[in-house]
Amino acid sequence: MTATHSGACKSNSRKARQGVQSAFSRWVNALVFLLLAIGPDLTGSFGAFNGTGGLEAVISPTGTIGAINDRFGNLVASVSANQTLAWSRSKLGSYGVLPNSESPTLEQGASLIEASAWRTRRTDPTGFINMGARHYEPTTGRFLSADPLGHSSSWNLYDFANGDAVNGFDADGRIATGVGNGVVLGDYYQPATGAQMLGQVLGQVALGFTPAGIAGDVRDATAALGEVSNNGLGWRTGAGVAMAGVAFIPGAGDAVKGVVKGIVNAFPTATVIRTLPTPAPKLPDVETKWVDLNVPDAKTENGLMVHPFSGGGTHITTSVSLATHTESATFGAADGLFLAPTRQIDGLLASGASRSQIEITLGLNQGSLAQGTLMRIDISNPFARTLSLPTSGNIFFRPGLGMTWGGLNEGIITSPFKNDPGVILQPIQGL
Amino acid sequence: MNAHFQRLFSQGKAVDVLCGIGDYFTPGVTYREEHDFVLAVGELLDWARTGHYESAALAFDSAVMTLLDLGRFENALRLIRSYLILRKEMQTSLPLDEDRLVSGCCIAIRDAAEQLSSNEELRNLLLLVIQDFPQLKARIGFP
Repeated sequence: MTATHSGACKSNSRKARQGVQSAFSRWVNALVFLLLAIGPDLTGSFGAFNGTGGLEAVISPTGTIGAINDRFGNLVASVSANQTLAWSRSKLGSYGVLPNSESPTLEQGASLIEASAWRTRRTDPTGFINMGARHYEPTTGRFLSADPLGHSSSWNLYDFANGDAVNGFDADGRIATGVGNGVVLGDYYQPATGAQMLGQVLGQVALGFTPAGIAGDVRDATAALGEVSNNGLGWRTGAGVAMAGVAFIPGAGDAVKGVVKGIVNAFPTATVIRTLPTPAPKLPDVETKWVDLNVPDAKTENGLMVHPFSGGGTHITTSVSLATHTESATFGAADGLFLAPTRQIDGLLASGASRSQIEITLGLNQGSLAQGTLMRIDISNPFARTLSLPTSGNIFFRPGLGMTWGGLNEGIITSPFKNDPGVILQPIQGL
Repeated sequence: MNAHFQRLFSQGKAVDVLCGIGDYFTPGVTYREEHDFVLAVGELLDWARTGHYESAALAFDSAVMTLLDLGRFENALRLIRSYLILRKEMQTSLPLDEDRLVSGCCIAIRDAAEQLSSNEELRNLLLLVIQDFPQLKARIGFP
């Protein structure tokens, strides 16, 4: 028997439904109708446009099980049809289930609510959490793959909620936002065709929710439409109405919502269990297919995108700057040495740029390279020195792009020793 | 010349710019965790050339004393070393009160004795400074 369900949320609906559909087929196939009402939105209100995609209730002909969310969408308890409150076995922290707790999976026989305890994201048998766009590794608190939206979404690509899981939220692994700050951009459910829209409405009708029922929660529908309008997401009005209607099912949502609102206030924040470091992401090696938007210098060779640092990296400095640190064993400070790709530096020098123009291109203060002999430090293999993107804004770095203000790619490596054979210091002639 | 630095010097902020404390910190080109003393002193010497030798010397002297008072011995040495290198490079000297400078350094060296004995890089930095600063070398009795 095939289970039928209808998701009701504005974000992650499709993924939530896709994620649970197979599980339902396997685990809940005795149900004829089953509906997931998806929980609180990022404004903290319920019955609106459920931005976080938190599970609100599991509804079937055999009864309704309400899910109690905290403000992060964590499922802290469930309320069965006979009003029995069952607390989740999982103890939840900001980055996942706490170490002394457990994260049961559907495959282990857990209920959907139990298996989706942390932020309503189901734990795979592997232990990873499928957030939608990416898999999340709760032990380290980081994603397994880079943010598909690139640095415009996450500075280091792998962190969760921009490294602030206490105040932040990341609905599907693509754009982090502060909890309570409104809807996140994500994979909003958007029927592609009129037939799909109609199917939604018909599905609701089949489940017993008549158009009157949909219209019955005018506040919710209005809120939904308001959000559509305010966020400019290009939603179709009809879809908004339909989903608003689905989300607020008489007897399920409304009954649970009152409980939920009280519970939400009782669980205002998650527990801070650790402070995770946010190291800069290591840039991929030369062989890696490099398709990042931040590499204007990349070119195709043998079908692979060639990394701009594949020809080595170069740091520009002056003899005077180096002379003030003669006693130092390394080039560069403890936090590393900034590099631009050697071939970009070569091109810059070949263009006949003056010292002032080099300063501007590298994003240095005017006069930084004015005194002494201009020097270059060439690093033949920066990848062996943990070539990474700079993690924070500074005078060299244009945040979010991995480039200097002058448009050169920029990376940072661990400071090389002066006597390292892979490091060549030489004067720049003619400047 | 860096117009921003020159403007700050003219506004009486030379000591702050030289010390690089707080908002005046400018990361070095190669050693980013440190203030760019080369840039600051280079701009100071440029400013001095525009008829501000006395003011520049006073600011430099005050900056060294400020860093020493704050316990930033290494930074004070880097500031002095930057001046000693740039003095040759730019062919420009400041009319410094060298006795006062040497006395201040001697006190700081005594206070930082423990640090100097345990930090080889700091010791080497001091040796580099006194190579170009014979008055200090004579006072602290280095052979």
